[in-house]
Amino acid sequence: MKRSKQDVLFVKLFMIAMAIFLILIAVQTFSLALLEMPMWLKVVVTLMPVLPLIWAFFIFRARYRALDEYMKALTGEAFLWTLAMLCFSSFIYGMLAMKFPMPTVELALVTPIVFGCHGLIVQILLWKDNAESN
Amino acid sequence: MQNRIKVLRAEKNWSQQVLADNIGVSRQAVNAVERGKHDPSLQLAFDIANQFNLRIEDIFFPEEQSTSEQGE
Repeated sequence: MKRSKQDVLFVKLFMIAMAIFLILIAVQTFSLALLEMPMWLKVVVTLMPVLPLIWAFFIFRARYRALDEYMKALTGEAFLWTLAMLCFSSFIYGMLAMKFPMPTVELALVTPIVFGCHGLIVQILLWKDNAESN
Repeated sequence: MQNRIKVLRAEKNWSQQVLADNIGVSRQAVNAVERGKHDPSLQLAFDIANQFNLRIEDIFFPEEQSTSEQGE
């Protein structure tokens, strides 16, 4: 499948952001375990991996604005599905947690799950549009 | 909304990708418009019509019109 220069640039920048994220996770883990630091520095080091994720968001925003009208509509619908799943699952969890003892959920996993689910839903919607009319 | 894009493309021997590249959208967008899954904006409809040197109404028509034409 032919890829435009914009697609290639987007993938490159996104992969760079993810690589920086992984490096910062490693830096965070090792520095917190091995170095003695004041509290403020510990907080800074702990939150460092958030920066490449924020950068990734702006990369994705630029990419979204460059999409054609159909892909914009599809991306929007995928976000709607992702938001609905996130809201309903957290609401269901919250309702159950009020009445029953529940296992703890790692909140840091929400962002990668949202990223992943969104990409997957876009592909499902594309597949559905193609499959329905075949 | 129905359209004649597939027929017009075939006449010119264009793939969806060629038409998509000509009008600056993704192949998926051309596919969705062609199959009636996505109603194009006025600008996109003009861009498509220009590619075939036709008017918008020569390419796109409402569901009822296409049904009645088929019945004739």
